[in-house]
Amino acid sequence: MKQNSKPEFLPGTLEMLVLKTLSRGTNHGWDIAQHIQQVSQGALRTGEGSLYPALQRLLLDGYVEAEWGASENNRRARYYRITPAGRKRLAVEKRSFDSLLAAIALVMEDTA
Amino acid sequence: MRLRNRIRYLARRRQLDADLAEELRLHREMAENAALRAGATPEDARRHANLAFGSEAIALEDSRAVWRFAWIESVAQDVRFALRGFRRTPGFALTVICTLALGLGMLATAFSVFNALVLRPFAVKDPYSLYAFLGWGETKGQYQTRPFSWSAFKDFRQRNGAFSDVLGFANVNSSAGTNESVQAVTGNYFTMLGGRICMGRPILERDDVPGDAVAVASFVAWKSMLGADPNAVGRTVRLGNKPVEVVGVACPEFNGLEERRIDFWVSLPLSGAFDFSLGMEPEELSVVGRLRPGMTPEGAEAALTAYGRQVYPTWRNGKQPESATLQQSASVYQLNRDSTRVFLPVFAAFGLILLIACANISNMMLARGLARQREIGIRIALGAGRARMLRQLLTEGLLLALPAAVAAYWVAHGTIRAAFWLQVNVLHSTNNRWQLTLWNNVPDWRVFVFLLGTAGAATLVFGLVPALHTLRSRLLEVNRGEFADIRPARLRSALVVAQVTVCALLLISAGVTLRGERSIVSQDVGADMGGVFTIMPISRVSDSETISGTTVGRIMLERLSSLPQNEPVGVCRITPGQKWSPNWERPKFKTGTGTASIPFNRVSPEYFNIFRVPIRGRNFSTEEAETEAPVAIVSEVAAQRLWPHGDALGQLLDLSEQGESKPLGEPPFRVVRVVGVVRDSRFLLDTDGPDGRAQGVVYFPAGLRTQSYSMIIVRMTGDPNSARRTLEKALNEVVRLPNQALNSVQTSLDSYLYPYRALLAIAGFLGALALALTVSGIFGVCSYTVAQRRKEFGIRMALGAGKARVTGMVLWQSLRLAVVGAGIGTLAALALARVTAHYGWYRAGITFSMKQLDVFDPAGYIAGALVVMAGAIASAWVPAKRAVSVDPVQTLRCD
Repeated sequence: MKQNSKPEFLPGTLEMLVLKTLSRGTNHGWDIAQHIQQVSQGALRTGEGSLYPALQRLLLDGYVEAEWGASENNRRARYYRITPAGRKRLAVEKRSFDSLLAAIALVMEDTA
Repeated sequence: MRLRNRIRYLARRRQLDADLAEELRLHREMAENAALRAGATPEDARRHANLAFGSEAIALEDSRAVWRFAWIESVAQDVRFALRGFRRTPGFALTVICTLALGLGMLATAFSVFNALVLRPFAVKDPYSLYAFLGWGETKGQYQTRPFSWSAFKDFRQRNGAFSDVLGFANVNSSAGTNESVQAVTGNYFTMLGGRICMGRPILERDDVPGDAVAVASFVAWKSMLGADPNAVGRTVRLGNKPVEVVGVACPEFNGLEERRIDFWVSLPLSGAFDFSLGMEPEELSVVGRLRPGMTPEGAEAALTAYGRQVYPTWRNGKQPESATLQQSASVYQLNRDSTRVFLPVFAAFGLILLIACANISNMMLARGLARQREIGIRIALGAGRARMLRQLLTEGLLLALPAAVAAYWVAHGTIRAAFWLQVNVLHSTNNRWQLTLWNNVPDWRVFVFLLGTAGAATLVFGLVPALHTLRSRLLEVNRGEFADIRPARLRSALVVAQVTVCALLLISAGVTLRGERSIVSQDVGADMGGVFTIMPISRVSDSETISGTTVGRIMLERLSSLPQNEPVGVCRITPGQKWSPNWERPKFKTGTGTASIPFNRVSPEYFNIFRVPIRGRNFSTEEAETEAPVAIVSEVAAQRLWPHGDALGQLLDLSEQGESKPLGEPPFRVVRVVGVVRDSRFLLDTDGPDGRAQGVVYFPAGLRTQSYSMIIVRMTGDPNSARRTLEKALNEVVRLPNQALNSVQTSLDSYLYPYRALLAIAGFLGALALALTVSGIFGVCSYTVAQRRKEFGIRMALGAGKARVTGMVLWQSLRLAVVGAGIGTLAALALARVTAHYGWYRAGITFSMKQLDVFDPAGYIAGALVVMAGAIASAWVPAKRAVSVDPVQTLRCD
């Protein structure tokens, strides 16, 4: 049941993860979710309720493009591809995320 | 980028929505497959997939929401929903729109007038730097009006130090029987005001010379009087009894610095500014200047004071002027304390109509809201937020208000046109200063903006209260159809009481005005004035100056006596029905029984015939009149004051005790004998009220060949306009008749009555409108409550309540509110009367004073309150009949 609740991502993090996943190659929604789950060793599970709105937001901002194609078992699937603008965005997001993590780490490891 | 994508989405919306749905389906299939591969049973796999990925519908909706202009769509949804509701109940929507349009239209009418007179600047170049110079005074803020002569104007224009340029103008009265409005202007008028000329040329400085006058026609006059003649330039028109050449036609927007219609601007020779025939220079020009750049009005007043001291060192009583007064000429009235004082009551009165309309609408909305409680309850149960519901209800209000605002614009338009028509055709305003140009291009954009604003505010007033009320309902109860904790009846009653209060206030005002006007009209002036004209024996001069009977007067009298159809011509000092009081002396009269100060008149024997005043005793003889014999005729009141205990006829009057001030025009004798007694006439309408009239009057003889009169009186038969033309033509053959010299006594009485009649028309109109709205409002509320209480009435009647009793219940319910409302309204009217009792104003030859009306007139109050209550009963009558017609069996069965 737990996995059904909204993932406890920081706002905008899911978009970043999706962009990162897509930076490795085009993919459809299900695979994107699977990939994130596998790589995070099951820690990050994305429901369709948050994944698809995130994808729509990325489409709207022009960071990804979508195209219909055939899936591995010959089912019609919608494939998403990262755009140059999306790559730039990913770089920016990654930088700010890194600095945020570093900052959090500094606070958390402060033993004084 | 986002915007472009959104728009692209809108264009291919159906396709993209389908894509999204399919994508989600695929997602689910894959989840199922994954679960199957992991070894679950198909049912488990499906269940797992469902649990894992939540509601597909929500995902779909959230994904779609990303693309949309969210608020626009929800507004569109509100609008669609509201429109669907209106389509279901078109009667409701139509009634609301019409009621609101009426209310808004009334306020917009008041605002249109305010706009035209105060807000809208004249269509001239840089109107806000134009200032009229009113005159010099002895203290700040106070001034004496004194028009400029031509040479004084030229000097003022050159050397005043405050204005970059100054224009002058003088009004030229139209010739009799025609009503064109003519203004004489200096040659720099058009150039200084930037008045565009569409055809021909403007009046120029080279026209400022004695000789033939030239004219520029206004666009309106070009269309109406010159028949839109393309060759109008060069044509000759007759203005002020002289042929004048038209040299140009002004463009449509230009109307100079006037609120009234101007037909022709003429050059100065037509005004008499160059008429030196009497050996003095006529002072006719009013002036308006344009402030020098950087000059403040205060600085300009200082500069003008300095100029006045230098040029007029012995300006008044040997003293030099101490102050100068300017008034901005950007619009007809300036937006200041005075104009606010005049317009605030007007706005309040017209705004009250809107208030009544809003109360009506609120009640309708409330009833509708109650009918919709269940629907609203369900929508809230389904998850509509209260804020969203509130927005929905306000959207509905706004959707009703917008068409109402548009309709109100036309209501205002129509009302102003109708008022103008009424003014000209029914009230017979003979004073064309009051025939405003209002009808011309009013209402304009300011009115429309004002309307939109008011419509919005009205929406809040009538929409919000019922909306909040509706939303207070509790979910559970609503769904069960119970609204126990809501007391809409209280709000409804409050609205009705407010309506009745306002309506009573307006009706009482109308009643008081009607009584006042009736009493003014019916106040017998004690003389028959129809067809009587007065002629001042003066030739072209600036101020009122009597000329001795041996010159102008005698010439006029000779000419008038030879007119075929009129009765014998007479003379007098003052006629009945004068608008304002000159310093009318009251000599001291002594008799055997006491002394009294009584005004006096000097009249020729014809006077009593001309005014049809019967005499007890005898009239003056012609010989007595010509020799100014020591005889007198007294009015009944004067007789009563002088000889309280006996008959005045034949008694002697002693005039020897006059104290220090010797009255002007007093007869040269000491003791006179009373030969006749006549009814009292009302001479001064403004001040000669109940107490003034009580003074009476003493008549002394004046002959046609003496110098003891100030006006010639003549009674003409037939149409007043043609009579006036006849007189004018005859007199102009022998003298140069000034414009103000010939007057109809009846006309001056009419123009005295005009403001009261206008007030009556407005008060009556608003009162009637308020009554109609209130009656329809009470009718609505009564019908609604009767429908609600059907069951109750059925039970009562089943238990034996008689028809009369049920009818009485319904009527009483309405009357109770009406009594409360009428009571509050009466108190409000009393309070208002205390404030307005001393209200009055004087402008453009029209005096108006509330003192002429009895603002505490009980009959007006009682009538107003009774009419409201009668209206309340009448409007409850039909619903009461309906309540009685309830069939007890049927009602009980229906439940």
